Amino acid sequence: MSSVIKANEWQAATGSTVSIPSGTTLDVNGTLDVTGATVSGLTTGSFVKIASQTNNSEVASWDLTDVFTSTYDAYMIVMSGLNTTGNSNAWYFYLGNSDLSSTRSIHWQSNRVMSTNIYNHGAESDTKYQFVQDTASGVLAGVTSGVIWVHNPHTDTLPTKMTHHVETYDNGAIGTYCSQTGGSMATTATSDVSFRLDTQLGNIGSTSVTQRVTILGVAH
Amino acid sequence: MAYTKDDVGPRQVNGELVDLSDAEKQKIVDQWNTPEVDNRPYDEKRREAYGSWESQLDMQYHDSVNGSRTWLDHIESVKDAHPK
Repeated sequence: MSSVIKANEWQAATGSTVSIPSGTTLDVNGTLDVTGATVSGLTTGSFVKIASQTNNSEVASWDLTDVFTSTYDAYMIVMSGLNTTGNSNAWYFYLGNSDLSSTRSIHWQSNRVMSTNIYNHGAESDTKYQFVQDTASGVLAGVTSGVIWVHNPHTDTLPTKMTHHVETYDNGAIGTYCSQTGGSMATTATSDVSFRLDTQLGNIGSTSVTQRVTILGVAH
Repeated sequence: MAYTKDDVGPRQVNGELVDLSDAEKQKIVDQWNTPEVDNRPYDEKRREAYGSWESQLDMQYHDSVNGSRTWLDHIESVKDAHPK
C-alpha cells in the first residue's frame, strides 16, 4: 500500500532536523535542490548530479546559475559537443554571483598540445578564463569536449581554483588535433555560485550538433 | 567580418532562452569585434609561425633543388611579423 503526502514545506516537530531513517530511500526523482539547507548523511565518495543541460541553437552565451553551494567543495563540469559559429575561436569561462551581473577577475594559464607544436599561455589575468585557446568552427571535428574542475567556489575564505582538460581541433596550417590543459584561480576569495560559457567570436551552438553541459558535485 | 547586434543570439540561462537588451548585445558585439590580445613573448610567437622542423626541411630541400629562397623568405617574414 502506498500513499501520497503533499506539502510545500517540511519542518521538524522538535528541533531543526528532519531525518530520513536509515534503510529508507528518499527518491527525489530528479534534481535535489538543497540550496540554503544544511545537508548531512549524503552518500560519500560519489558524484552527485547538480544539473545537466543541452543546447541545439545559436546563443550568445550559456549560463548555469546557482549551481555552486556549500554542500560540495569540488565540482566537475563535463562538456561535450561545444561548437561555435566563429573560426579560430577561444572559449571563455566566467565565475560570478547568482545572475552573473558581477564576474570575477581570474588568473589563468594553459597549454595547447598539437601534433607538431606546443603553445603556452601564462600569467594571464582577465574577467574570464580561457579554457580553449583556439578551435575551428563548423566542422564536426571542431567541437570541444572535456572537463573543468572547480574547487571551493562557494566559500569566501579560499579563492576559487579551476583546472581543465579538453580535446579540440584547429583547422589551421599547423597542428590539427589539440589537447588542451591548464588551470586558473580567482584573484580574490569570493563566493562564486554561477558560471557562464561564451566565446571570443560569434554565437555558440548550432542545430546540427547537441551541446551538453553536466555539473557534478563530489561527495567526499 | 565585423559583427553587428543582429548577429547576437539570445542567452541560454538554465535551459531557457533569454533575449538580451540592446546594450547587452552591443557589449557582446564589441567583444567579438575586438581582436584577442596575444601577450606571448616574441620567441613563442615566432616558434608557432615557423612551423614544424619537417616542413622547414622540406622547404630547404626544394630550395636546394630549385635554387629558390622560399625558406629564407619564410623565416624573414616571421621575424618581421614578430620583432624582438
